[in-house]
Amino acid sequence: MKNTVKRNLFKSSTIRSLALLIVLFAHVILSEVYAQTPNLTIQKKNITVKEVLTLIEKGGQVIFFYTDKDVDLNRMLNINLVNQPISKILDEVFKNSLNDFKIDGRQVYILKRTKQVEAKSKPEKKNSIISGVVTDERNQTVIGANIIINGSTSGTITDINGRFSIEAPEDAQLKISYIGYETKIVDIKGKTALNISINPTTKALEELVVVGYGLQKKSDVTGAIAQVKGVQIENTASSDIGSALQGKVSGVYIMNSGGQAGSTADIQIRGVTSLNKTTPLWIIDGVPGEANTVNMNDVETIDIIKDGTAAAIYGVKAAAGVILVTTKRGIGEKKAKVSFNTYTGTSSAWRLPTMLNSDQYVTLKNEQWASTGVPSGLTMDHIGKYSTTDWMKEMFKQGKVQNYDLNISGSNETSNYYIGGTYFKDEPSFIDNSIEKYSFRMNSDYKIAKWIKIGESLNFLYSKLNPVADGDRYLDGLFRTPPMMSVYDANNQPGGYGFVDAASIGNYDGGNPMQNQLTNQETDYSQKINGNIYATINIVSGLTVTGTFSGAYTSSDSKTINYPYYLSSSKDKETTDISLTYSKGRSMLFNVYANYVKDFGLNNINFTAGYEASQYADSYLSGSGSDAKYGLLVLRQTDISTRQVTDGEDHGTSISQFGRFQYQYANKYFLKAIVRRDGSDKFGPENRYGIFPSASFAWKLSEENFIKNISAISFLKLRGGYGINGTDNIDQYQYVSSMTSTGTGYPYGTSSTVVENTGEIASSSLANPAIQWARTKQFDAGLELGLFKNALFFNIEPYLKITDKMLFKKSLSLSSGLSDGNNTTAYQIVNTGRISNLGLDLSVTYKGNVGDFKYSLGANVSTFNYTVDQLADNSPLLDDNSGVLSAGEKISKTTVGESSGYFYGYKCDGIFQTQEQVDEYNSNARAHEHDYYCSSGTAPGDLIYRDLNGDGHITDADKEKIGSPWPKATYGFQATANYKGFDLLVTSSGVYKRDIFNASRAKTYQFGGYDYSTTTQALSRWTSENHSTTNFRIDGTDPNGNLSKPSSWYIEDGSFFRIKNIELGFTVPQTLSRKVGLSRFRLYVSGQNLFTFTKYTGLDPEIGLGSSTSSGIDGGSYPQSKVYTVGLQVEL
Amino acid sequence: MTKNTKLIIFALILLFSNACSDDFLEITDPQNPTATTFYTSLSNAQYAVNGVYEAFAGEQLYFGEIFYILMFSTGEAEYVHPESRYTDFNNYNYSSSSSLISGYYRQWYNMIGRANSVIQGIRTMQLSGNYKEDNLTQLNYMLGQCYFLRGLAYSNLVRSFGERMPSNPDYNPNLPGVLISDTVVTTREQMYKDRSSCGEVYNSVVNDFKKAESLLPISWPDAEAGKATQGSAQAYLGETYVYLQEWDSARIAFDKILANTQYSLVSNFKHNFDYKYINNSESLFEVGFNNMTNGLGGTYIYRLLALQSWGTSTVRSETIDKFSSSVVINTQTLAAALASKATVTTPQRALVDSLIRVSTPLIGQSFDSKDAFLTYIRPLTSISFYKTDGITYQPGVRVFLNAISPKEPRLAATVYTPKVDSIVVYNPKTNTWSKKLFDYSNYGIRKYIPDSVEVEDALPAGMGNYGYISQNFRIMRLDDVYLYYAEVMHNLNDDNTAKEYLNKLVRRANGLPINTASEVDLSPSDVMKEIRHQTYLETCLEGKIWFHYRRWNIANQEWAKYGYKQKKNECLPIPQAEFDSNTGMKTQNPGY
Repeated sequence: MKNTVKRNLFKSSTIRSLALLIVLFAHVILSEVYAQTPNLTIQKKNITVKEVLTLIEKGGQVIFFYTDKDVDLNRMLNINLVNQPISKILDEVFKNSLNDFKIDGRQVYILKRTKQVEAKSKPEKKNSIISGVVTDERNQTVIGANIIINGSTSGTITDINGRFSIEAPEDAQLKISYIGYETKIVDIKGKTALNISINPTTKALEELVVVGYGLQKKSDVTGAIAQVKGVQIENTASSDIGSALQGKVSGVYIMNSGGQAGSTADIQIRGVTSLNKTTPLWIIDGVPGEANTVNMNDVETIDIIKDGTAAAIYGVKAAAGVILVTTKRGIGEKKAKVSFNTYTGTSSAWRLPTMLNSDQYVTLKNEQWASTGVPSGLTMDHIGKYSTTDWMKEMFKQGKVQNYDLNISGSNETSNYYIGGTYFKDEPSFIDNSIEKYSFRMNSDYKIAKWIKIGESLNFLYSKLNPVADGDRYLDGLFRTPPMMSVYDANNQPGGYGFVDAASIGNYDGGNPMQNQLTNQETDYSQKINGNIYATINIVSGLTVTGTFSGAYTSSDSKTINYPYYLSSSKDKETTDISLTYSKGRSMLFNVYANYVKDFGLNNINFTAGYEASQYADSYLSGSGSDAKYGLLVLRQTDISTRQVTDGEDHGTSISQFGRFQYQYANKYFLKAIVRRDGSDKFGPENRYGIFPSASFAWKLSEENFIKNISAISFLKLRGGYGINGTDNIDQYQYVSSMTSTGTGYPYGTSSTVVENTGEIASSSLANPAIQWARTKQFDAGLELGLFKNALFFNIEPYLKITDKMLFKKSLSLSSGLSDGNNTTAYQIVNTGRISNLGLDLSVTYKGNVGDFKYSLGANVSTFNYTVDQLADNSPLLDDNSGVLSAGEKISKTTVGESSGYFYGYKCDGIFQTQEQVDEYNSNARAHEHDYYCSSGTAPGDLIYRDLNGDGHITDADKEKIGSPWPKATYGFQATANYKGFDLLVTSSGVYKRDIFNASRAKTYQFGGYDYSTTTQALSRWTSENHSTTNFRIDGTDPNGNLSKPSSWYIEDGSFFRIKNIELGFTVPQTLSRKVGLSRFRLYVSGQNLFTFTKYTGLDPEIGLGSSTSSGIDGGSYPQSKVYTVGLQVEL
Repeated sequence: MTKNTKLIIFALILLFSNACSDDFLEITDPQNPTATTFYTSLSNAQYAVNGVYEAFAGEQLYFGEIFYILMFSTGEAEYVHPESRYTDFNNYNYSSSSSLISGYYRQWYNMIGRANSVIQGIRTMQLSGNYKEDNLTQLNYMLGQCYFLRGLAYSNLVRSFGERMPSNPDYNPNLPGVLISDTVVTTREQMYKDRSSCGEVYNSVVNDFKKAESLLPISWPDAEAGKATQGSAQAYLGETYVYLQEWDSARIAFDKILANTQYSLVSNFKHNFDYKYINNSESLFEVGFNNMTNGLGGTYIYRLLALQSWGTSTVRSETIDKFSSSVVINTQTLAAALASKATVTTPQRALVDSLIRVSTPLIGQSFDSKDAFLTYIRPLTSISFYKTDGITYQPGVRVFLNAISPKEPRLAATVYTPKVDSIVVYNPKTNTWSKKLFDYSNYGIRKYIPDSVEVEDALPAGMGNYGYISQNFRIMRLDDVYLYYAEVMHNLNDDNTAKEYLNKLVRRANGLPINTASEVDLSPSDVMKEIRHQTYLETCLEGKIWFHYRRWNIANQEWAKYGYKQKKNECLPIPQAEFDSNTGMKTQNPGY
């Protein structure tokens, strides 16, 4: 039986009574499934109370909580009730007894009638009335906690305000207990008023986790599912939920992609699933959705399904894991609860580089041009002539972040609601870059008849983004700008931006970063409405059917205005240009599933079967025009001859059927089998459907007598399984060959005839009619061990994940004739290829207290060994990495037997220090009949590349693996502490041994191009005076290819450990806050990214994950900010 | 509600669940037509043919970077820029991993792949029986264009990547040429092939041009000018025979063009590079980019090749020297030298005076080159001709040499001369154009580079914008045919005809009647040498010299100073990426 653990837990204690609770469980019980307590029919004579409760548990899908001592389980009853709600049955059971009951969703608490609680034994010593209040770790009052005089049977429970009052001897001890919390003993010591706080047990094993189309007790799950509570991520000053999860869950590798407003995090669950892009499937309140539509503080729980057996219920797209977000509902709030939460803070850029000043610039530029000849007109002998602008200081300011949440929730017997609104604004530290989000949510459930329940989850999101003008390249512009350029110059009109006389500092072909950012005004608006409505019907006892219809409508519009400016005669723009894009998307999803539960003695079966279909359609229309007149910023006022319009559309469908069978015996053995059949529009008719089965088991050893006797072990479970998931992560229409427009157009005609704008078309990819589902097979095992009443809890999860028939883009030969005229390689989608990940996820939590000081510690570490076992034709894949060093230089290589996308280049053996050394290498080259070692221009100060094949000459054959972008391990630590009203939360995450190809070194240690500036790190360059061993010489022609050849000089250890968040809060004692009508009043300060420990010399070691075949390349994006916030949380 | 009601609802739900049938998953691409249904109308077929032409716009083709490959390693021009992927072509430092070479290789194959696909599509249309006389003729014209373009692509590939030119002493037809792909690719494995022999590729080129010749029209209406014609095919067929040294066949092909009255040299040589004179009477085939009026990007050569733009493409002084290589001592040249002495500072004036004095006794003599002249007078004087580096002329010597070397008139159309030429610059503030001296220290490339482009801004119709310009590349002109014809006739032992065709070009260059004997007519003793010289003067800085010099087996003597290596640089390397993606490709060219 499902509730045995709970019951035993309390049996073993000496508690006399047990109370119901509301507040705690309000935030763990969710989803439409929870409250479907069906009506039951019980017609039995001479049945014990215990038997009745068992019947109700089976039929009504509820869990009873009680202590045996409180309830006379053997009392005989006669019951004759047909199709009655549980409450009615329980009324019948407990009428005329000493017990009362409370139903809270699926939990039913049986307790002694309050009026019955009285001292039964006459106290020997002088008694006094002790009153007090019980609070939890968040300083919220606890309703229904048991207060017992230790060693007696006398006790009481706390009331709705968490207060109690009891008559007890002055020297007695009070024992306080509460479900999910550790029992606490307090000495009265003559006091008459007590403030008692209690700590949650380390692992709330009774919590429910979302397993897809249903819920399950965490202790019973057979797969790898991790849960993050809303409270763990709330108030993270980020617009993206993904980044808030960083470091909190083992096996989930999260890296933020940058510090721009609205930037998101890359998430990878359990290694690499495919060489093609795969992202976890996000399920929001039961239906697929997008992470960025959910407001951080509306989140109740996030369940992360890591393994294939558990994810199998989601079949398609679940191979890379599933993240299920459940938003808050009003369940259990007896009276309307109003919560208000706000924070505001500042952010500042972290570790910005120091750029050269003008004199340093002139000195280094002279070195750069020494060999090529100084470009004409250049006057580079003017040390001390120019002033210096600190461009980093000009372009970065102090950022601001603010957030306001207001929500109201409540419930009654038949319905509950949660209504909330949020405003969030983030202005990171780069100038003119911000995001604003407004979101509104309404979640409710209604029991409209005894057999039917309906409800909805609705969310509206409005966001406004002002992006940086240059996208990911915005630091590139700063690296390029010469220090002598002023930010503003009133003489340069229109605009009034500063510039340098290009001729005087060497053919400067860049712009003014401030002008670039400010004359390009783009605003992206997005409106999203999404939600679902559901109905759950109880057909017969044990059988329910749930239907959900969900829809989303997205409307986005973007307006870009480019204002005129003048920098120089060749760097100017005369007109005001407008471009507009309107796009919309709609999607619908319908699913229906039936669930049947039945018990046969100690056997329990649970069967789910369902069907799901979805479709979406997106389209956009975009127009642009230049020379807007009359100062009006609308398209219709632009010059008609310049107006252009374009459009696009896209649609897709999917169909699935699924079934799940669960069996358990005696709460010890659990079996689960899932099969899902998915249809995808991406495959041809013969290959359209895929069937994905999985099977798993769990064995709760702690229920076995031979473990029960070991008192230290409070929980022990072994689980394992095997499952197959499908992936269709490719573009549509790859199974038919199609023609595409080549885009450039080819003209005919003479100069005297009008040139025709002739359409042109060609096929550019090779269709593969045979493509089918990629299959990811996962072997998953787990050991969960709780010690000392679960104060110490271990989770050990090894897995093996193999993706077979992997779908990826196989580059076609250059001679295939299929590609456009640019550097994009033609490809064919193929199903060949296999990759495997052998991994281990570990986590441990410990919870303890020293008096009133309560603390918890958590740590997790994940590691995986990832190899590519097979590729199409087993020929290597080289990712283009266009523009990383020199265009076309390929840095990331994937070959069989290695992990994908490793760095491929030359190993550096230091720097040539003397001409003799160079001559020696060159003479060795001549001994092998080559003219020279690397290049005719190789000279002291150049990198020494390792001659791998020993032919004395550096060629492509000397390239090898020089680093791997995949970390040896990722890890995270969390700590919480509470003392009196204070609370502290620290979360951190780290990456161990990840190589980063720091391509930005070419711009920070050297001049990134002929007209680039650089940072003061370049002062370490090799010169004939400064024989540097770490940085090479500055040379305009770069004959040795130091700047263009990928080499280990660019490889750095990207390991880092970062304190992601520190939050210190103080909750005003309720006794005080009550006086102003508040049930909770909490103030907090927090800091994000305050401390980072790394040897990395680039901007930020936390760079996005990139793609599977090209990861870990740092081109120099804006580092994440340090954020300081102060916040306030108030509840009425 | 009764139990029955609930069961009915349940049944309805189940029914609804199955309402979506399998064809729910059958969706079609709203954006792109499928290949199988595409070839159903003449206009669609024409779009596909346009797509074949469009392959010319590849980045490493006439978008612009082809010139880096073809013009820098010949010493015609030089690129000054830190990026080695470009500068590698200044000094033969490129390897099989060069992204420029792989783009150049791939983009010619794009043209071939598209042509194959269109040929198959049009044949299907022709066989369908749905098209009658006129339409069938149109379809044949389209087929002819596809064969022509495919032949052109193979011709460029085999001349660039084939192990040896047929004229090379080491050539035999079995040497590796390039991979031949002549059908529509449907499977990946189908592409896994090694290179065919040079002989096979040249045969295929000849066959394609022959088919094209038989299918193409003699001319197009003005609005369709630029499409390949019978003349285009004949010119390239003739060229191919020249490469194969099949002189009689070449002559037959060229004779047809010479007899065709629609072709004539334009009176002004410059017009061959002027965007206002595209598809003129001299053009046999042009690559079209005159499309900027339609809001499409033109060619990017302004940004890539114009001096003092992105990086610096400069014309080497060796190129300039070729235009003034003969030294003629007469009173006129000495007077010019005297006049130009004013441009040099005092100590060097003495140098000019001395040289005039030394040279005066030589009036009436001419020398083949500056070096020949200097060698002759070196014993007669104590003047030091070179600076201490031994390579660079003393400034006064340079002035003297420039003055006594007659300028070839075509130079002005070929390069921008620093401090002499001017360009027209647009001033956005006043919205006016004004002349500006070409105030740089190096010669700039002028062919195809208009003198009135303002790089960063939108300009009047047809002209540049952000480095893009509207311009057509006249890759086969009547002057090319004349040069080939001269060579053919020389090899057929008819030097008189050969000289006549060279002289037509010289007369045109000097603005004289083309078909009338004139005072500038040449009478070279070494006709082949003059053919080479005239080919250079007529076609340098167009990407043609790289082919000619290798064909004439003079590459080593001309380019060794830039790093050219015999046995290796006679061809480009097959790109490494081809070996990486084509498991059937086995043979790399020697030396790479």
